[in-house]
Amino acid sequence: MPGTHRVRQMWISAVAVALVVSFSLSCSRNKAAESSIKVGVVLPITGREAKPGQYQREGIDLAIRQINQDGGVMVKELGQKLPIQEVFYDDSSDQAKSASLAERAMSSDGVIAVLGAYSTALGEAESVMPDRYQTPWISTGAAATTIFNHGYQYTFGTLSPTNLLGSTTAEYLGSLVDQGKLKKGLKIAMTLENTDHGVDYGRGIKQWIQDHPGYFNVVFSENFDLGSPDFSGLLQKVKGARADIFLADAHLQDYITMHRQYLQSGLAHQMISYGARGPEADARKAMGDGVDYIFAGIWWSKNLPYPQVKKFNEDYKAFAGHEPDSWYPAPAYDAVRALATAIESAGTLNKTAIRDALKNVDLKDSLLPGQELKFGANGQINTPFVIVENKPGGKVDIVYPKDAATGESIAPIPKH
Amino acid sequence: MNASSVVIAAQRVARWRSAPLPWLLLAALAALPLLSPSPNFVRLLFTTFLWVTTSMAWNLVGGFAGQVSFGFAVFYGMGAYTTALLMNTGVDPVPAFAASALSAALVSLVVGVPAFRLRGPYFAIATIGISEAVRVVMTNLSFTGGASGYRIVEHRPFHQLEHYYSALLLAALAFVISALIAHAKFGLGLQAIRQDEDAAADLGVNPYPYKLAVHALAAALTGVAGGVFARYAAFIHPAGVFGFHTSVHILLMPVIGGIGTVWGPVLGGFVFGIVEEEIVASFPQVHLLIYGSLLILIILFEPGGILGGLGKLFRRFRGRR
Repeated sequence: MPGTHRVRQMWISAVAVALVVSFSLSCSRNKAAESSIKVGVVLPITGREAKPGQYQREGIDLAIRQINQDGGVMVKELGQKLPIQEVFYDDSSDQAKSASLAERAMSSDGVIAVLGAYSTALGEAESVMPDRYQTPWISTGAAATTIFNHGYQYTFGTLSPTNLLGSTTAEYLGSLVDQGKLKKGLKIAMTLENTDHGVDYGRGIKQWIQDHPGYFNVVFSENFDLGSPDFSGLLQKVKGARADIFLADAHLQDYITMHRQYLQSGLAHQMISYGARGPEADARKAMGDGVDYIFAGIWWSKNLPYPQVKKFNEDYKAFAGHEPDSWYPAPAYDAVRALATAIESAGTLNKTAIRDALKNVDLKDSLLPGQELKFGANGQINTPFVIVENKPGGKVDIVYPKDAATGESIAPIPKH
Repeated sequence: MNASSVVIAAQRVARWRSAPLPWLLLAALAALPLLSPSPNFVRLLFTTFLWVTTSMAWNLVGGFAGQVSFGFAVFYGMGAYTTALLMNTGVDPVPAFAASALSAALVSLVVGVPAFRLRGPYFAIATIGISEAVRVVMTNLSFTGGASGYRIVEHRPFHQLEHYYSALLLAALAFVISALIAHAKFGLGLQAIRQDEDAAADLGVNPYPYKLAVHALAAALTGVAGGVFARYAAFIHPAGVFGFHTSVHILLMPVIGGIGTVWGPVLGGFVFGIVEEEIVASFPQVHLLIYGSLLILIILFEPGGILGGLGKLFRRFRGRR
């Protein structure tokens, strides 16, 4: 019955068009008067990076809470202090979602900046958006230099570059040679995550070795996929390399999986590191004293001997219900403080003015090593790393640099 | 093809052309930017158009021809990387999209020639294997950035509406192709293959070239969708565009909307594009649970998808009157 078919088509058409138009109108831009400062936060709270993402969110939430308890951020143009309102999205540790949620926040939620992007992989995807929407973006957990070397103008990061992590790791091992704890000419085996993070880490180590001939030789270097369920084949190759030092660049989940299989394979080296992972409570819970003597280069430690760090540790514990785990919350906490400082300095909620102010931020009471947070010309900070070593009984000591050390390096790892 | 069948086909096409729904919808979507929607809404529709395109492309193979493929991410990813690589060498977007179509179609032949020797679940399993193999290769290919991904640097300002209209045009093209095939001898041949491959062969429809041809066509559309996405995202990585979840998403949309129909994949694409994003943003911890439950409900209670359910409702409403 063509008549009935036509009537049905007409009805469906009318409904479809009405739906599209009404949905579009409901999503049209509307600008309300500012009663708060909206800040977007995109972090992984579920998925592979859930734990570090959660810790970073706790750091951000604590900073926002403290700022709001003090009355908010002074916006000179408006003549009043405004509280910070967080617009949070969980990207589920997925790169595509991470980028689209950052875009959503920047384009339609009325935020003046977006914070977050834990891990280089997620940060790479998000980093396209800030310049596109001219919204300042502060990455709290992505450190690969590739994110910051594209000439972007709205991109900032509160983690030092990963190649500095690599070179600091090699420098620390070199200091152990100088102290006579390790011999010269030791062989290194490296396994690196096959991302720009891994590339930077390996490059940093190789560059230091090249600049300091005679200290070490890299005899094995191979990449692995993030989130692999099995590293036994790779570890067999490491075994075959007969190296003295084992250095991996891994994320938390890969660190736990790889080191568990390392222990099961009966491997033993004079020194072991998993890059920026090592002291995490989850790893100790999973492997007990199997993580003893692992050393890590990290962006922050709760053992840093600064009064502001002591206060942060207390506040964080009261807020989150647990002590800071590894370095994760501090760069996120300082990112919020840097943003608040920039807003006050700009005196306006104009995003370009805030971007310009961020370029000149100088936090003299930063939690990070060196106690000073300043963004470089490319938007990334360049604070030094600290090396920590897991000790028996669950203790974690800063062992390098010497002026911040809370304990002696135990090297080489004692044989059982 | 005799004279009467030509007349019947022409009548079908003419009836489709005179149907108001596609034209009104296209006009409404084309005019939508006049209402100044938020950039997020434009992005949402942009993504939805791409999903609609891939959904309709998959439906050509899975719905019309009955060949359930879990490997469409290969074509999506191939299209994305082709556009990305070409644009970074200075090629304009449109020729880059054309190259994406070509590369995806060529890859479809490489996949299809051996895989279409298999039938049913064996074909489906083969497509999973191929898809995963391609993802692993791309993850380790250094000139495309490997697992770190690949960044597209376009030396011109970003105009969101340009991307919006690209995706809308592509979806419209996919719809026209899908509707034409549904009413053409080629489409009837595909439906014959879906119903009984051996019987179709006995009646003179050679399944193998039919399947290869529709697979290549679907791959080309999916490849362009990948290219359009890559240009918008400006950063792609193998785990995303070649990911198994991408294949599953592409397959699910026609199932949700109504498999083997022209409008079903369109509806499925819209529902998936808009609902999925909102669920992810609002319920990140349980979005997969919600989505899976919806899917189970649809498969259990309305295997014809949303379109089948709407058809039943309409018939019931008409019966009451």
